Amino acid sequence: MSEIAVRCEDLTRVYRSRSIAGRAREVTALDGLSLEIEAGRVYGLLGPNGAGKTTTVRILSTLLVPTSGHASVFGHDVVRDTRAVRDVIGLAIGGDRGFYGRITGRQNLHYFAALSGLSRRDAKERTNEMLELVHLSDRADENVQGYSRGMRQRLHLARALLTRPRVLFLDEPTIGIDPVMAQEFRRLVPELARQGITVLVTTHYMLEADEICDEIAIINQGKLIASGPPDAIKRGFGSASVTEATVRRNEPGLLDTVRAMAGVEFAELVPDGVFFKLRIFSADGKLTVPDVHSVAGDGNLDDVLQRGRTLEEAYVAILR
Amino acid sequence: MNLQTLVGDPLWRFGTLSVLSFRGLFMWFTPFPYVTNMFVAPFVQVGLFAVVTQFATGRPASDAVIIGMAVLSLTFMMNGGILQSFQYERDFGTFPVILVSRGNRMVTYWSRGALHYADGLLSAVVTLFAASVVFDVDFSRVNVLTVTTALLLIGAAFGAFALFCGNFALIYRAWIILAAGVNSAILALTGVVVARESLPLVLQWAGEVLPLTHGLAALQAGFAGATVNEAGGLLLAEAAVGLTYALVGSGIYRWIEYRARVRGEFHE
Repeated sequence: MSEIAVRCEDLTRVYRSRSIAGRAREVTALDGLSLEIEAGRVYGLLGPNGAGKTTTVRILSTLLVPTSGHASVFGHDVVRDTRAVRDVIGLAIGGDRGFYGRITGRQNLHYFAALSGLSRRDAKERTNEMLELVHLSDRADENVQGYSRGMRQRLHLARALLTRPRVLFLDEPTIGIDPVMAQEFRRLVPELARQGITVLVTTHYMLEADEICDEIAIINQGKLIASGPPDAIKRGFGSASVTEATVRRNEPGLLDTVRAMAGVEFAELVPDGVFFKLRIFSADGKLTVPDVHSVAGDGNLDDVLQRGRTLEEAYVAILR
Repeated sequence: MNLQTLVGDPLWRFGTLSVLSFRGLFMWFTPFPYVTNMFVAPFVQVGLFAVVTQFATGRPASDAVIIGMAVLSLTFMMNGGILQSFQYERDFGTFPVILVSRGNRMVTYWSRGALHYADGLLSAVVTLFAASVVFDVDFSRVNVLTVTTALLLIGAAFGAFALFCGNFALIYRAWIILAAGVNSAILALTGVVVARESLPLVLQWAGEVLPLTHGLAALQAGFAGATVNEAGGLLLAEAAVGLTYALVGSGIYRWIEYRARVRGEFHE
């Protein structure tokens, strides 16, 4: 078994605050989360807003201490050995923020290189390399306040890689990036993993997670709900097959009849232009196309197709 | 280890952090506000206070008041710039990046004040020049060494004080209110305009623990011809006040980091 890069054991984080009236409030962001990430893997952390993804990243990157539990990066405790952890990690957070808008992209990277303790020579070399890597060299000498959100996201990635990290934490890195750059990002992340960098990425984009992640964890309300390779997630939880069809007439009782069919785990009928879209989730091989035709009535169905479940559908089913 | 690693790189890092944080976080550092604050405001300030003094006392403003004005411009310039640096660090979302960096926090902390120190000294010199042009200030007895030492010490002590206050700008995100409070306290309690002996005893004590109070007295003594030795006690007192704020301020900065990690504050 390869080396464990990131380990969380029973990680809990409770935010405590007081209202103006002095009433204590508690929000549990993480509730006993445990996970392990092997070195050189791309690990996706998925979950709805408020699930605890960003809190997990903040704890692992030493920005936050857990209320209880234990976390380490390459064996270094994130609470006690902060210096050692910071030596091996890179963090990309912030979205639109996180830079000085009145200086250039290159100057921002120089600044953060100096902040990270790089030598003058190393800082200049790494800045040029990273600007090249994220395709910002031609805009590097413009003030960041004129950058688009996508350019800032790329600059976040460049900054995170400045110190040659062994573990890279990316918090929703492709929000605001145009499709071409998002595709470039999806090419780049596995390449970083091939170079031995472990990547933990949080995202809401299921296609992206499906494409780049070796392993995925789905968390909700601070708890781990499911984890494994994307294909296993898609197959392993509930229905594995999806039947889609265009319904011309929404006959009374049609949806109830479909839901009552053998093997059907979930079905929905949603307006789709002047027609309706029927989507049936069932166990693999339990439902055939003729079965669907038989309950919908002759000539009422078009474009019937059966396919495997997408990660997004698996994700929704798991959270449902 | 060679000389570059031992000296060159640390100096480059401190210089880079100082210059780029000054440019990135100091909102007055654009042509119009900067020229106005640095080169126009001193003339207006000296003139205004001279008129107010004459109106209030029936006598022309003394050299002491005009020298006080020069130092006041130093504090206004440094205070605004340093407080902005701390608040905008948080507002721009760069503070978490500092917290997660492996760099020395004290280098970051002191780099926030370095260029503002130079800026403040320049402002004091410009104001003294304004005073010499607009008013017939008698510079004939000046002890240059005492005046220079006093100005450098005042700038350093006030810089430490402004960095100390900067922590609260980062916490409360209200640099304008803080700046107004600091400027008012300096104006009223340190002997810039109001003679300290005329203040109630409590306010005199408050003035004792503020930067400027002792340094300004040393500066005025220097303009009257006192040597460094003669003004030594005042200079030492100013240095002690500055050193205290330096130690307490840097301790608070570390406490902010601790609080950010434990309570999850200041991340947004």
